[in-house]
Amino acid sequence: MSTGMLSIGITGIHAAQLGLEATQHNIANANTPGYSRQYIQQSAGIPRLSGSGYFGSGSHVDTVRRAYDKYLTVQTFAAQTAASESEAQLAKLSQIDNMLGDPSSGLAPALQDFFTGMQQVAANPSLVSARQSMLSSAQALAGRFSAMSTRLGDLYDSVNGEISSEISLINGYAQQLADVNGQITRAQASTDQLPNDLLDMRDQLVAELNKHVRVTTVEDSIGNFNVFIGNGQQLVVGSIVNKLVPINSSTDPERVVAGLQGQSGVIQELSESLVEGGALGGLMKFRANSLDDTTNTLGQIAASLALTFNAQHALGQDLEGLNQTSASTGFQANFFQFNQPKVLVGAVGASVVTASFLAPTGDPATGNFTTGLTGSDYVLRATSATTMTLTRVSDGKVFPATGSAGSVAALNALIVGEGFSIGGSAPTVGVDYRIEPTRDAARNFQINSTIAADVKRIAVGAPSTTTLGAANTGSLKLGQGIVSPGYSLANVPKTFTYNQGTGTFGFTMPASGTVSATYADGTSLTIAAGSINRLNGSSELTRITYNGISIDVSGVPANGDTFTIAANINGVSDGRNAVKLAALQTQNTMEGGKASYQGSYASLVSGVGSVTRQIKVSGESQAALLKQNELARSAVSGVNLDEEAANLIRYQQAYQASAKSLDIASKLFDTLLGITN
Amino acid sequence: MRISTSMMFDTNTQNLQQLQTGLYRLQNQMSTGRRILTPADDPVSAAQAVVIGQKKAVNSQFVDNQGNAASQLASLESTLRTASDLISNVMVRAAEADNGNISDTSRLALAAEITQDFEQLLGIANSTDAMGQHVFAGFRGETQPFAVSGSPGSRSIAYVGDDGTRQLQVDTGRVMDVSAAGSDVFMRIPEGNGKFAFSAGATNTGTGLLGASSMISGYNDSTYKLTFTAPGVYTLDVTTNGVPAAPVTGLTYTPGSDIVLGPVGQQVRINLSGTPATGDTFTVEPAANQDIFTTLDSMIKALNASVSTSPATQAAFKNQITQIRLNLDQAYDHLITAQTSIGARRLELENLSVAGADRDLQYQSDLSKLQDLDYTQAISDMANHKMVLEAAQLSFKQVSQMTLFNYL
Repeated sequence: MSTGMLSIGITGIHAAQLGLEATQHNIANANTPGYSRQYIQQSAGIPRLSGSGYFGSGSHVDTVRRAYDKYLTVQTFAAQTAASESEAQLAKLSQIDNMLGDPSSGLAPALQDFFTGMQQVAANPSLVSARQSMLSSAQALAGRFSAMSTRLGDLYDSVNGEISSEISLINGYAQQLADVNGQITRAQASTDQLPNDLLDMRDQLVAELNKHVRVTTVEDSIGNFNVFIGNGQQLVVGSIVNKLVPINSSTDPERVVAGLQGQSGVIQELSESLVEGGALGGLMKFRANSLDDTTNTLGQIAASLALTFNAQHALGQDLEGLNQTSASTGFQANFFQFNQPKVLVGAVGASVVTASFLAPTGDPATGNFTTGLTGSDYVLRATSATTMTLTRVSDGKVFPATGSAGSVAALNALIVGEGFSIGGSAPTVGVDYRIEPTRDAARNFQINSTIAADVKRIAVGAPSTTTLGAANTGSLKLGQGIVSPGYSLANVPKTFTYNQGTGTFGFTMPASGTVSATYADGTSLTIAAGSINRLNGSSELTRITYNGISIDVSGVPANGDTFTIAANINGVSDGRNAVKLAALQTQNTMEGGKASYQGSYASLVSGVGSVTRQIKVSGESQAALLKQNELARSAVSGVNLDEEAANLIRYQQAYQASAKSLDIASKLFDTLLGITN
Repeated sequence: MRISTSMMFDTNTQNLQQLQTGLYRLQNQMSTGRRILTPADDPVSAAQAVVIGQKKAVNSQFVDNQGNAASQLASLESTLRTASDLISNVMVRAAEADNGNISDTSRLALAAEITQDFEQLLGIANSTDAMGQHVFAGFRGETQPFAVSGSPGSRSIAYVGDDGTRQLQVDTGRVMDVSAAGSDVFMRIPEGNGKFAFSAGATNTGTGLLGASSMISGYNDSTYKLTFTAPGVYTLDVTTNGVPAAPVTGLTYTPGSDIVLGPVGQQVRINLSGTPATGDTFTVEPAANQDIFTTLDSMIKALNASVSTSPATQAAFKNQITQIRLNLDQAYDHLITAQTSIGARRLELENLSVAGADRDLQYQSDLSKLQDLDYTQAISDMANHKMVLEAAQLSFKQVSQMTLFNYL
């Protein structure tokens, strides 16, 4: 009987000790991430039959359990991966957002200063200091483009670098997880008991993995967690890890993407859209959705500005009287320098395809220059010698050049609205060519170095003049003359004489070139012989276009009145082209005549702002969701120190009580021994 | 619900951080005065601010250009006024010279004065602006536009500028001429009454005097030549569009009476007085252009010539002066018209700059609405945030100190 008492006492002490141990373990791990509160599962011992019935045999600790809810834990993972993705995306995005939003460092003030400089040149065409100041503001504009694109380039590089380091972190966690998988299966195999802390550790590793990339886990029959990435690619199978490796994208060698290295060593490229969630997913999303767009749009503005400004500049005449048609060299048609579109070849040894910007369309005589350049990238792919397609990446629009006539020339005819054309060798069949027209345009945006060295080369004047005859007595008035692309001064001076009798302007028809007349009702007639009717029906002559030089005509000439189109000689005070150049600021020159430079920049600002705001808002809601999930999980699994303090007292008292019962048993035994004495 | 201790700390830390972020943002807004710190704060307004910012800058550039244009036009107008004042003075002198009682000596003195005026006018026509550019040279700002050769009385003038007028964009869609070419201002001036010139033959020997000439119902650019074949009898030769009509002979001349020429609907009226000699001619022909300088020089020439007491030479002189006075009238009108046109442009500029200033104010207030911080709201928010943060800190301090371990 007394042995029973002792042994019951011992079981009580033992149970209380284990209880204290579990409590101490909880207290010690109160702040351990992923730790689940542990508690002992205590049960009464198997009763022993005696004459008086079944007597208890004391207490018994069956196992130590963790307070754990599988579903709450998995929910936390999902919330975690979404929150981490938003966080990584937002951290990068707000850098662009800040750059665009800063009123002094954005593009808007530099663009404005540049055109203000142009206006000042228009007001003082012969003043070299005005030209110098315009050049400085142009250089500041180029500097701003380059600073912004360098900043974006730095972001691109840092995304590449961070993708690599994210990948090595993921590999580290995956390796640890595989190790823990092994430890767990070994631990479970030897006993039936669950290794709680190892299970917590594994959950925590999955949680950490989810912070970096979204993974899904499936528990196999022997208790291994198999981890999958993307749409089912195996990252961890039991104790085996397929490593992720940073590789250069097959479509863009400057782009680091993730590849999965199988056990055979073959690396499978994971496309950007497959890698979701966590910091890695956030970086990929940021790069694909925001960084590329911003860089391209900035480049689109830079390239469109350079193309349209150059087109108008080419129609001018510089301070030394040189223009495009001058026999002596030295005229600088281009004010800005830029690089042609970038073409990335998808395979080594494929033929070299080039791309070049199309000259802006439009005619300053009737409107302004426009370019259809978009901010998208394009993919060119030839599926056979006569079948090739160009895909606009932004919206997936496909331009197919198919059939027997399918060729680069046929394709170029289809994509004329995209602002560039394809050249070089015929594309190699089966190879992807990625064409990035605007990617590097802002970075390479520069002032023509010859102009930078000599501001007299800025083409501020126009190449032609018009002069009324000194003896004119009628009310004939002439416009100053506007030249269109392809104009010629080969056959000037050219005098037109009005004959009252026939009602025509007579002139000697040039050997080459074209002459046309436009009337008030909009009719335009090509003139074949050397005479232009002043009236077409009842409609008056409004414009004469002579070899690309357009002259507005109004008023009524007297018989014998003349006017002369001539080259602009010594016209140092002429600012006509500068007025035209300055006017480009407010004209719709971009996107095929739908947007102005500043308008495009404004939509870039609002685009980035909207995305940032959206990510910020969704990030906040994901963080709130994560917090709720963590609260719910910690309500089940978290350690409450007050609770543990109470448990300490509980088990201390149980221990003390059991010890007292031992003491009593011992005293009883002593009593019995005393009897024999 | 169970609360885990570490979660309690975490949650509190997070809440404090959120409150501090809010405070930081408010403080940032208040120290910059901007409601929108980055485009993400309000993407639509941020984009609008870019667009309106450009409109405002372009508008103020136009206002600058308007100021620039106004000052160029003001200076041009004052130059032209000097020229027209000068011509007006010459017109007074011409009226004096037209007086039959004036002596040769006085005429020489007048000639000397007009010679001075000629030089002064040439100076005006070749004047330069503050940048050293010739005002009336068209686009050829560095070329002196008027070149004179010969001596007074037989000068010839050449214009070596061009017809260009400098322009400035003063408003959306409005490009304004801010200069005038010398060819337009000084050179292309019709003679006579602006439509036709009525002149006496250079070799006339009679005392026929040119009187007033005017259009009755239009002028068909015909040339009418009156040739006196006998005292009081003349022949009329009419050439229309280069085609001579058969001469009308034996027409009777009544001194001092009007002669009406031309078909009905295209008639002109001339007046002839005095006694033309046989062989004298008088011509009506379409007005050609005569520049101001030639007009002045012909006046100098006429004044320098000695006019004897012979009625014939006196009549010739008087006829010359009559023509010169007409030409001076034309020149004066031409200069005044140019000034009027400049005045109209200056008025337009004034209106534009008033409108520009209004627009600037409008843009400014739009921008302010989009970007600027409402300080009342911000200060109140700040006080609110501060209070909440203090409460959170205080309550956290108190709650975190409460643990059962204190009593063990």
